[in-house]
Amino acid sequence: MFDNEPWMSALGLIVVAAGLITAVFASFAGRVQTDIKCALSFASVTQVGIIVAEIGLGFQYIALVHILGHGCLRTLQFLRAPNFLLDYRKMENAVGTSLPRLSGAWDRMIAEHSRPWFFRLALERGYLDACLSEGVVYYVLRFFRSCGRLERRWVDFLNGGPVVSEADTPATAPNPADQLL
Amino acid sequence: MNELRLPWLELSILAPAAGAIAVARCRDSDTARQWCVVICGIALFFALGAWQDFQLLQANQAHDHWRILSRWLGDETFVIDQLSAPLFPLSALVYFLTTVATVRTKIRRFSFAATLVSETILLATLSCKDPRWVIGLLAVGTIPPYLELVSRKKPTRAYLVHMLLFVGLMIAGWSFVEFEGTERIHTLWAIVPLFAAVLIRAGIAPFHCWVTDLFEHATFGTALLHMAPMVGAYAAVRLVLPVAPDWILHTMGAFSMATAVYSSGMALVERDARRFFCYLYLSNAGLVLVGLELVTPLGLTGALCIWLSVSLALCGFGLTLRSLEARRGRLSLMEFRGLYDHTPNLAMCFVLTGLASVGFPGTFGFVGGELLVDDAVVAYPYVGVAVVLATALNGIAIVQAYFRLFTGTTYSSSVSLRIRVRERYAVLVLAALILIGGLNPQPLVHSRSKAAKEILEERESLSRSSSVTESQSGGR
Repeated sequence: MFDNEPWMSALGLIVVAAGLITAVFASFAGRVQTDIKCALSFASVTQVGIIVAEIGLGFQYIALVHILGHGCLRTLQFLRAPNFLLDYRKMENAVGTSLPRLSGAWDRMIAEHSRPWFFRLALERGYLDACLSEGVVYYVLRFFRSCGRLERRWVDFLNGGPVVSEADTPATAPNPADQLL
Repeated sequence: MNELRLPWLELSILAPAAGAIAVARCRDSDTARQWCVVICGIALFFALGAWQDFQLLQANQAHDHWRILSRWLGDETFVIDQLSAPLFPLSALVYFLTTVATVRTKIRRFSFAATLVSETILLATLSCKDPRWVIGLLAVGTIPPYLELVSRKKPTRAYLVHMLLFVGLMIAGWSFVEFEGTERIHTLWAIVPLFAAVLIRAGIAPFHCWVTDLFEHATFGTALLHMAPMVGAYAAVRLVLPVAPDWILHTMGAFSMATAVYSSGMALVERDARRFFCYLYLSNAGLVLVGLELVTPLGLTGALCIWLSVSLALCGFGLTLRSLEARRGRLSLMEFRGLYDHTPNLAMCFVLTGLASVGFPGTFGFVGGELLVDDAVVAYPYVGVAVVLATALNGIAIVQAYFRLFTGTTYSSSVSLRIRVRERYAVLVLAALILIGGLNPQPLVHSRSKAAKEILEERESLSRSSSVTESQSGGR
C-alpha cells in the first residue's frame, strides 16, 4: 500500500506519529501499574507502537524481526511472571524490608512537586478511556440504539402491529454495552 | 463433462427427501429425532463422497454417474463444480450437527421432517448450476420457515413480504436476462431486480429486517439452518456475478460493506442473544459479499475462504447458544449469567467459534480474513478500513457476550446443566475442524483459488462475447 499510492507518504507520517504517540503513552501509563499483567500489557503496547512506527518508516523487515523477538520475550515474561513475584517476595522476606527501587529516566525528568500530578495522570491512563467513552463510544452506542428502535418499529409495521416476543425486555433495563462507558 | 464414479449428488438429495416422508409418519418426537440423525448422517456420507470423488477427478465440473434424476429433469441438472464442491458437504454437516445437538427440551418444537425437506432443497440448490433451477429451488426453500412460523402462530407478514419480493424480483430479473439473450450486455431491467433479490436473501441492509424477525419468531434451529450456509452469497455467484457489470458489483459491495459495519455495531448494543447472533451473522455475510464483489482473484479467494469458515464457525456459535437456550430458556444479555462452572465445554466452544468467525490467528477464518483485507486495502483502502472496523466490532461484541453468559455469580441450579454426550460430540467435531483448518489452511486456499479463477473466467468469457456482439452490431 505504501509503495503503490503516491499519497501514502502522508499516511506514512501519520502512521509513524500514531506509533510513537502510542509508545510514549503506553510507557508513561505502564510505569505506575501495580498489577504485573497490566504492566506487561502496557510494555507490549509500547513495543507495538514502536513496531507501527517502523512500518510507517518503511522498515518492514526490521518490524518483522521486532515482532518475532518481542513475541518470544513477552511470552517468556508472561509465563515467568507468577514465579518472579514469588521469588521477589521470598527475597523481600529474607532481607526483611522492601527491595530498593531504582530511579528511572522519568524520575530525573520530572520535578519533585509535579510528580503526584503526573502519577495521577498515568494512573488514570491519561484520562483517555474517559475521553473516548464520553466523546466517541456514547454517541456511537446512542446511534445504534436509535437504529434498533427504528428497526423494531419497521418490523412491527410490516407485521401489522407490535408483537410481544419472548425476547422483549423492559426499556428501563440496563444495556450490556453500557459497560463500555 | 466428467462423470463421478457413483450418483453421489442424487443420492445425497434423495436420502433426506425419502427420510422426510418416513420421519413425518413418526408420532414419537424422540424416534423422529433418531431417524433424522441417521438420515442426515447418510446424506453427509454421500455429500462427502461427492466431494472426495470430485477432488480425485481433478476436473472443473462433473455430473453424477447414471443420472437417475437428470434423465427426468433434463441433462446436467445436478452438477458439482469448484464452487459447490466443499459447500455441499459443509451444508450436510451443518444439518447433521444441528440435529445431533438437538436436546430433549427442544424436540417438541423443532420439526425434523421439515428439516429434512429443507436439507433436500438446499442440497439440490447447491448442486444446480442452471439459473432457472437455482431460482426455482431458492423460491421453494423459503417455504419451510414460513410454514413453521404459521404453525407456531407467529407473525409472518414481514417474512412473507420480503420473500415474495425476493422470489418476484428473481423471476422478473431472469426473465429479462433470457429475453435479452446471453450474447449482449444486459439492461438495468434485468440486472437491478436480480441485484435487489440477492440483497434481500443475503440480508443486506436495508432489506435485513426479515432475518432478525425470523430469528426472533422461528425456532433457533430452523433460523440457523435457513441462514448458516449463506444461500444469499450462492445466489449472488450463480445469478448476479455472471451477468452484472463491474459498477453493479461495486454498488453491491458498498451496500454489503455498510451492512457489515452497521450489523457489527448493532450486535454490540443488542440485548437478546438470538438477535445478537443474527447481527453477527449479517455482519459476516456482508463481509463475504464485499469480497465477492471485489472481482479480483485474491479478493474472491478470500471471500470464498471466509464463506466456508464463517458458515462453520457461526454454525458452532449458534449451536452453542441454542444449547444454552435449552438450559436457561430465551437468553438475555442484560445480566451476568455465570454459566461457566456448569458448562465449561460450551464456554470454550463459544470462545473458539466466536474467535474463528472474526478470523483469529490459528483458526479456520484467519487466512481468508487476511486475503480479503490484503486485497481490499490495495483495491480500495476505505473498504479495507471498513472490513477491519467490522471485524473489530464483532470481536468486541463476542467477548462482551461471553462475559455476560459465562461469568458472574455462579448460577445455582437444582438439575445438572452439564453438556450432554451428543452436544459434546457436535462441539468437538466443530472445534476440531476449526483448528485443523486453521493449522493447515493450504488445501482450502488452493481449492478456493481454483473456484475464484473459474468464476473470473466465466465473467471474462461473457465480456468477450459481449464485446464481439457489440463490434458486430457496430460493423453493420
